[in-house]
Amino acid sequence: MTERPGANAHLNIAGRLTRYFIDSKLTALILLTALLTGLLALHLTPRTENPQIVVPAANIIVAKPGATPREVKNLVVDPLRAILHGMHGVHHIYGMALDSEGIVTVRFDVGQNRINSLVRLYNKIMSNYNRMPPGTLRPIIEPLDVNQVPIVTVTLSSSRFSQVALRAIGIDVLHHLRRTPGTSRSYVIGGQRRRINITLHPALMRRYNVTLVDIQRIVEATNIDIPSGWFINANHEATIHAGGMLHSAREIGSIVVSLYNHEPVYLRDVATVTDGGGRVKNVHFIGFGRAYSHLRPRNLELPAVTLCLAKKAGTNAVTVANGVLARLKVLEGTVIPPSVHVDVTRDDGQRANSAVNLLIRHLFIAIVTVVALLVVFLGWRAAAIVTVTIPVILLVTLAVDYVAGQTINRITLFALILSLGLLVDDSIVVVENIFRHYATKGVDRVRSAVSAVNEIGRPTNLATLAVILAFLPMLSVTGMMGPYMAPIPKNVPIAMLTSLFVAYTVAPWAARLWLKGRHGPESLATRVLRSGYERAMRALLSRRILRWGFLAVIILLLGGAMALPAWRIVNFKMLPRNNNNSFDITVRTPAGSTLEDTDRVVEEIGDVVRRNPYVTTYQLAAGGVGAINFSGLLRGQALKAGPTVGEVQVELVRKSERTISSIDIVRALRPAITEIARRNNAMIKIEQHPPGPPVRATVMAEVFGPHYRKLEQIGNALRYGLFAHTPHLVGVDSSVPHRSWQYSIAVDRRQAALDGVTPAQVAQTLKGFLAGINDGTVHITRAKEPVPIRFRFPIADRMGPQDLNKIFLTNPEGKEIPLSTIATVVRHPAPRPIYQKDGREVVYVTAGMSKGSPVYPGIAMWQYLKHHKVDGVHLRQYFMQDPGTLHYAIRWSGDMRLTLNVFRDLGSAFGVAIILIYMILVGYYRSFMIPFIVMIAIPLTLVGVLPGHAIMHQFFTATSMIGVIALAGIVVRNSLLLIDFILEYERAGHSRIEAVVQAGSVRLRPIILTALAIMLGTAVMILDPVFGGLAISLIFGTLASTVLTLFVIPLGYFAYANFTKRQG
Amino acid sequence: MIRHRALLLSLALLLAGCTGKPPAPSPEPPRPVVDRAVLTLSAAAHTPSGNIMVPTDAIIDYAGLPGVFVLSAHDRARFRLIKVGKARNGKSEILSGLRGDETLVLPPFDGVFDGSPIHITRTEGTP
Repeated sequence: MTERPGANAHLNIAGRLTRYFIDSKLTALILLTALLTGLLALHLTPRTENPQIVVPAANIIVAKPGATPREVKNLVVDPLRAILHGMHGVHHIYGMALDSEGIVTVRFDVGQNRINSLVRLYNKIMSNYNRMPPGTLRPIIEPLDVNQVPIVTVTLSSSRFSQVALRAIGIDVLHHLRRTPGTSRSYVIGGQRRRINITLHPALMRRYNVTLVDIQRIVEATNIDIPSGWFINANHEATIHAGGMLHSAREIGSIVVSLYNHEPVYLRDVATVTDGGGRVKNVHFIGFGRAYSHLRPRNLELPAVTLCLAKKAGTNAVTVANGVLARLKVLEGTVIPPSVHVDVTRDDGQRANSAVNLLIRHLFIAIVTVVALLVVFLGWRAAAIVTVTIPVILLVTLAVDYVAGQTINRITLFALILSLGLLVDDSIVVVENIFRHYATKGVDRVRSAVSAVNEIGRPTNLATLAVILAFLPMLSVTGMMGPYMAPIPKNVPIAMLTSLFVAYTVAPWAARLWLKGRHGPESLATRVLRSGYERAMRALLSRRILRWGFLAVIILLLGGAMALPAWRIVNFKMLPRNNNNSFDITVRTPAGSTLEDTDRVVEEIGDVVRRNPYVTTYQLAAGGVGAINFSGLLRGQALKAGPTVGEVQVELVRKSERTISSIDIVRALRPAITEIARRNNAMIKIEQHPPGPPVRATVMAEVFGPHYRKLEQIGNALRYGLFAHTPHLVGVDSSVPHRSWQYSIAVDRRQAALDGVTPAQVAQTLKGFLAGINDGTVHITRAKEPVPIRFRFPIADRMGPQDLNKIFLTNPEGKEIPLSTIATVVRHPAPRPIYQKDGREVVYVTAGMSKGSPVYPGIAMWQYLKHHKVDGVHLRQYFMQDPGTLHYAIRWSGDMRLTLNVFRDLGSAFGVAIILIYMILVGYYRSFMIPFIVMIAIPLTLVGVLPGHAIMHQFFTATSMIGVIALAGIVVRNSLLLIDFILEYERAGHSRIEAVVQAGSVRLRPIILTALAIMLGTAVMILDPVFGGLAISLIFGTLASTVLTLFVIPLGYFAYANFTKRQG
Repeated sequence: MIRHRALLLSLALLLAGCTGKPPAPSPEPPRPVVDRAVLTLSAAAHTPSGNIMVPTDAIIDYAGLPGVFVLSAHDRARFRLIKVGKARNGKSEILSGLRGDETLVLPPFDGVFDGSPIHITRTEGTP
């Protein structure tokens, strides 16, 4: 300790900083600036519920009409993959070969630049497109992007307006809402597009001798209007339009299509022309649950359209959503007719805001708890000084986030709550030491404060560095979990560095102003604690047998704690489910089901959902899916369409306003929904929003092998065998579709040639007959969507293959050829899609979990497959590597793989953190052995962590693991200060036993104080479903480690010192 | 000690401020019981091609969607989406949407909403 702290040469960094700032006018200004900047940042930083994970991906859709899946696989998917092969930053390439169409999904590595990746992808495909075989159409490249996920959806519903009218209102409203700054992609789901339906009557057509091709040609030739030049006359120029543009259904009906007995035949003579919706291909309803709090309509469910609005990247979801909703308010009653029901069915802005506000409130509670603790331990004045530093540090951290372009999300705030217990430490240590100096010396307030800071500067720096080093390796976590958790290793070190700086500047400055150097009487509790500790320590130090006994107890405790996971009292899981405000139920009816079948299943689900007391609204969709969300996007939900697809999106009462978790609500609904699935033979899955990064399925097996047919058989065997019989797996599904039938019309080429008809003509006529043909659009000026003209035959005439004899073709001689004379109808199994992953054919078997962790069913299935054959084949199993294709193999994927990856990454981060901490400790103590003693505290945390999870009945999750890593940094601080004081006392000439006892006794109070600060600070997190694990780890780990280190570290040092003495 | 009590009080107040109450659910709208005749479908309603024939006037247009009112287990009228085929002699062929064991609510349909309780006045069998 220096006598003249004025001389810089004798001060360390901490001392110098203090000396400069302790009486500087700048300190107050810095304090003020930090507070203001932080508050501004808190207000301005975009808020999201979870950190935004950038996973650039795109679907490349290439049509090759008429090709079978096998052909598509060979001619479209494989060449595309060859083009994309070796592209930098591509994580996986998934291929799907369907009938006449190939879809290749390219997934880039997490964190790749989105625009850069997509531009490179586009460029790569376009510049190599000559390598694609002829006959493939131009590819459609469809980026899959978080910023395409709607953040606000508004559902308009009405029983009065028709589907077409409701959609028109929806488009109009969307047009207004789109003007809100910050919105990007927007679209309307549901309703029907307006179009002109020309329903042709084959009998009349035959009577007047007109064919579809004739009518089409004439309509096409009529519906034209082009700028044809201009007149210049009398110094005036006017443009001329010529043609006969069609404007309405009536006009179309009045087109002359033929002459019959010298009389014109109008189109309306052979067809019914209507302006309306046409064939219903998808339906969209909204239903109102028991918790619905607005005016209920008289119908239980109303036909609806949903307007979806996404936001631009980098904008604040809260402001964009509020802007959209404010605009919507204005439109109600004007653009939206009063009889239309308006419901906001998704508001991610509100969701993010309430998540963030709730956590800010939790943070506040944590601060109050910690302050209360400080008041009890340090008294009002010291507590006030430390309290001032807390908001400064937190707000500075938020300001750094804002500058770095981060968002404020749940993880950021958890990081702040986590760091709360740590960041008061530096100030506590500094203030306590200044206090001690003031009490003993207290002449020159500036000088003694500076020397007090100087004294503890080195160990405090080291302890803070240890905490930072514990967190930093977490930045290297790979996959989607990396960016998801990144706010923790980013924010905690920033908060720690700031706290160190603040402890050396603001704290001494405030201490100089407010702190009084008077010792209060030691409280009774502390005195009892201290004397108890001293007595126990002396007993342990004096008797060898007690020491060995103590060691045995510690080993037993550790062993016992480690046995908990082995006995499955503590189970592992990546992340527990979260309590959400909504969930989705996806429906797939058996192949061959109609839209009406699917709608009926969806409505049955609606009936179950409506009875739940926590449901506000639910939207039904059949023939397509509702508004997509992020996890749905990654599951490939956007590609789903067709009559067998349905979805129910359920909105619940806000979680802050209900006592029951969405997990329990889903659990209560599941039996009824399983029953519906069983009764209708449909595939129904309840999709809850994952707490962390989304995966395609919770449990997923990818089956690889040489023959696709065999792969399908193995897939089915796994699906109906092993997966179906493994407990807790629900919604078992596979990529192998059910067998369904299709008809193909085989044209007799010889007969067709004799009759003068080409197969192309047959195909074209058939398409008009069965699917309908779009031909041009009508020009309705006020329509906001194009209004196509559609030729079709009445539905009653196209029921089955027997109706094909009603179709006639006209050959060049004008003779009518019935289709049945030149073609036959053949029924055969529908071709099945072929799936591919990274160029290898694959079959997926997937399942969800009703409860528990996917790790254990995974292990059970792995064990089974190790000893049993599936479909006569022994499957090789892989977890990490990709299997080859020469033998049949299974690769476990899904949530379980993510779990393994995350624990692997976190485990290595933990290892790196320990090595780093060891290295700085070696540097500090200049010894290889003492750091080991200091770090004994780290394994001791397990004595608390694992039983803590058992007591709280929680899974040991990724956040628990983060807690364990954080603990490594935290507990080292205690043992560091203990060892420091022992060495200090020994240097001051005390006997070894005395030094050990005294050091423990002096450090007892601050050690207990900092431990309590961590435990109380993180206590608010303990009930959070996701971050509860972190809180449990920290609370129980700190408890166990603190109690044990107080004895183990001094004893360890004592044993080591005695050992080295004996060795000489 | 007073200051400790004050602290505890402020903590309790903070915690109390954290739990919100949901807005009260709105009451069910009036759906008066209506007296209507019903028609029970049976195997006799099937055409040779396996489709079901229903009276054309039992088909409603619900905001542009074709459907019928099916009597639910609790005697309520529920909308069911259907696909209509040929119509002949006041009867229509239903291509999809009905299984053939349902009971249909017969017109008039004014005053009948999706979910209206039905008081059955007469049960008709399939003609």
